[in-house]
Amino acid sequence: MTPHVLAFVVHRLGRPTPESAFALEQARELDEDAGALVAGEGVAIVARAVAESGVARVHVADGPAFRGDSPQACADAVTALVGQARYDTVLFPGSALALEVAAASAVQLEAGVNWGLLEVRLESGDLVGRRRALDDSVEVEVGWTTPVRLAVLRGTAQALRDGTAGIEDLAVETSPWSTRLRILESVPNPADGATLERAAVVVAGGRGLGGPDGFELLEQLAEALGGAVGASMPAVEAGWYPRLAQIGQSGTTVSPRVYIACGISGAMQHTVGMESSEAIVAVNTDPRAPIFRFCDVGVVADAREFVPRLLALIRTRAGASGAY
Amino acid sequence: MRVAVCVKCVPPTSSMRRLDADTGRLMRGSLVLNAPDLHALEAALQLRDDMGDTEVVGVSVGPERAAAVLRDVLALGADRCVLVSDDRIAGSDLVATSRVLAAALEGCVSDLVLLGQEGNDANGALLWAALAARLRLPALSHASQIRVADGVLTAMRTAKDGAERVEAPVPCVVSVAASANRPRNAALRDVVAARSKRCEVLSLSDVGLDGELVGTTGSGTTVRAVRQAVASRRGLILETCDAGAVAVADLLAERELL
Repeated sequence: MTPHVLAFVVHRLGRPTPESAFALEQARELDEDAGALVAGEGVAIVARAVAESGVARVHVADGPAFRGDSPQACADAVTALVGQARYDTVLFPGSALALEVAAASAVQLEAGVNWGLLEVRLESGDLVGRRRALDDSVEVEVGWTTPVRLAVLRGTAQALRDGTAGIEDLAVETSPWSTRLRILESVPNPADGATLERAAVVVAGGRGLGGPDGFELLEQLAEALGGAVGASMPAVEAGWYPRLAQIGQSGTTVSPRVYIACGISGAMQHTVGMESSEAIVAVNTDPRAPIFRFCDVGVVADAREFVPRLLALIRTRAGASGAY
Repeated sequence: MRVAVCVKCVPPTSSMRRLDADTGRLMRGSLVLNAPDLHALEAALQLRDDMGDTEVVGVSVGPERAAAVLRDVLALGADRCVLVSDDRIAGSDLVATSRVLAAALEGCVSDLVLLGQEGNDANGALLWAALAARLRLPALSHASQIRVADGVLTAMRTAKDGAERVEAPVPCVVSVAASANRPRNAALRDVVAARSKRCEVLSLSDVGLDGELVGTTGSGTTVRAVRQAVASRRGLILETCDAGAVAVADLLAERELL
């Protein structure tokens, strides 16, 4: 039986995120009558962009209850819509917000939820998800036993612009506990992260750098290459580099032409934010680090020794060609 | 005020293996406290330090041997612990686990429920959000600087684009960021004092749950197959800095980035 699929859309600056584009793409592949849900405050512009993504219809839950994209209110919208429109499968993009919406929806719908899925497909009528575990060393095939199935994906795609779906307003009665969180004050990061997202080269550091000093080396390398510096979550949590530079599931997703990972072991939370890079270089002292399984060039070395060596070589070559 | 801290006892990762103090041997099958949960416990203890007149209760779901790890929770300062332990719980997924934990918490009505913030691929990553939905309470994640006054919780929430100061009425469910605090260590006298504290072990029927609702029968997801992953791209691996520097410089030059 063909599943009836809904894609939940996470948006940023008025556009669906690349992770959402992937969820929309997977929804379309599973069900040509798939729908999309856009929730938020003042999201008409997002709905119009999603209407071009090839889904059959776009449901919009708009209003003050969704201020700040309140995850609990979004879960109420998913719950209401699944009941009203008889969707049996909901795909969520890989993001911290969507994970929270999926978890709350799972409870409200008493539906099984699998996450970190690289793909969702039909196999002799059964919905099957594929994900990685144990730092990507193992592949797991998962299924669902509930009538409604929730799937949080892992992956990005380019937004399509080839459809003209109808846009329908969705009236949602939010639960009393869903709208009690109040944002008193926002303290934005000084920059918007756009430099990191646009950089042709990203030099990123992790716990293997041993401290904030290691990041000074990365800044020198990034400057020499006209690139930007990123950091893994553990390095950010340790206070070695600003959160704005965090790459991975709870940070920015980048896909530069070359990604240089220094002292990063390659935990899944990090790799989802950089795996679509054109070329990946990994530098790590542990030859068994998971990151060596998906790099183009791997160097088993201490990044603090390697980076100065690479810098010296780059400067020598630049000097030889007279460009530096 | 009562603060419930949800803690999980997990097998140690290689860096956290414990040696038996008497035999010097690796403790097989031993469990340790899940590292992110220490930050939730510390946040609860700091609230008690600040406010006084607060009971901190550790709540856990797991095998009976987890009771030994909960002694550590008591030694660190929790006033008492509750462990729901039942063979039928094994194999529970998110939906089923949240049922057990919610049932335990309903028997221990709290003003605040704290959990550790886990990595997004961890099994417990979504538990706080699922738990809030079960308990029908507001949820707040990535929290630090947690304060409670006049029935209102305020905290900082760190997000991708910056931080937010937020408030929510208590009771509510909060997952505590690892950056929120540095967990304290227990002194020997605390370990001794913990022996006289209460650690209650409850069965499923004690928390009023039917066996059908937990374990694999109560779960909404299944694992169909597990296999070794194929490396998505495995390129050139070099063992020295010098060879590595040449290979990386060549790669950058090839892509016209030098």
